[in-house]
Amino acid sequence: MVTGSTLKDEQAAFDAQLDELLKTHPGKYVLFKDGRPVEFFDDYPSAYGAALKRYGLSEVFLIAPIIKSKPQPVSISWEAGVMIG
Amino acid sequence: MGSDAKRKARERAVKKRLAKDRHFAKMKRGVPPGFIAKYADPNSLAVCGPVLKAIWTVPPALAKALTDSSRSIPAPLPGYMLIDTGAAGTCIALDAAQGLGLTPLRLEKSYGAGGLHELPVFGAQLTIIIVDPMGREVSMGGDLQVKGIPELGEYFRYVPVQFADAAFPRRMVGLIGRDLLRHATFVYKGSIGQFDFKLDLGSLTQRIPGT
Repeated sequence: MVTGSTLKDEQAAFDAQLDELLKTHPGKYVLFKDGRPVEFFDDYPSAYGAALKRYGLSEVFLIAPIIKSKPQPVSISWEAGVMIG
Repeated sequence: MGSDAKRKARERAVKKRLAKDRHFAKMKRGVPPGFIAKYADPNSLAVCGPVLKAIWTVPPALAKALTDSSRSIPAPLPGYMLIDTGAAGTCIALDAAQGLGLTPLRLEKSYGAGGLHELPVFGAQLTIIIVDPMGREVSMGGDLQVKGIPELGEYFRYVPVQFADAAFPRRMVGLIGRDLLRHATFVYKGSIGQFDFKLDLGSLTQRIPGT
């Protein structure tokens, strides 16, 4: 259990549990708090609204889709430093 | 001389009327809103890249939470978005996200020439502003989840291009990536400094990416 967690802590906990979550709630959005899943939602706006209602504006929480994601390019040109001459 | 000027004025009025008729005929046929951006010279497009006017605002859920707690909602943040076919997803400039007082929903790994790194993902409301050929402003947008890109807000510091609309903030606030371009037709005409951009409203209605 993580208390007084940072977003990095929540992210690490989510990443560690992703394989299990993929078995039980694939495609859903999860609200993660203190290192554990709190509630599942069909979409991000519902998850974000519920999180703000439950924890307010100053507490740290994580909202993420339960999908097996691969790192994606933000912008190849930006990252390569060739966007601006 | 006077009659020549009158004749030219009449011709201009006829052309304007025909353009208007064509435009409304297209509207009737359901042709999607779009526009043609013509830069002062082809080099400006090459230097600046194709940009659209847009406005970021806090997402509805956050706006409600702020109102419920008697806090003020940050002012909308207008600026330019660069159309970037190299970006998988639409992104927000990190300083724009901070300006709106957004806190990240999660972290996501991204890769580039510098290798893998983690970027914050924010919930934010994007409105893209399109001025159609009749000068009418059409806005469309959605509640998106977007990665925050450091230093993108500095873009125009290195790009010496002036825009016709001097009143609009000369600030880069994000990238329009392939998730939104999935719902658009984009034609880049580098040799004449022009690009055409059309949004397919039907496609957007089916699913706004990131939601």
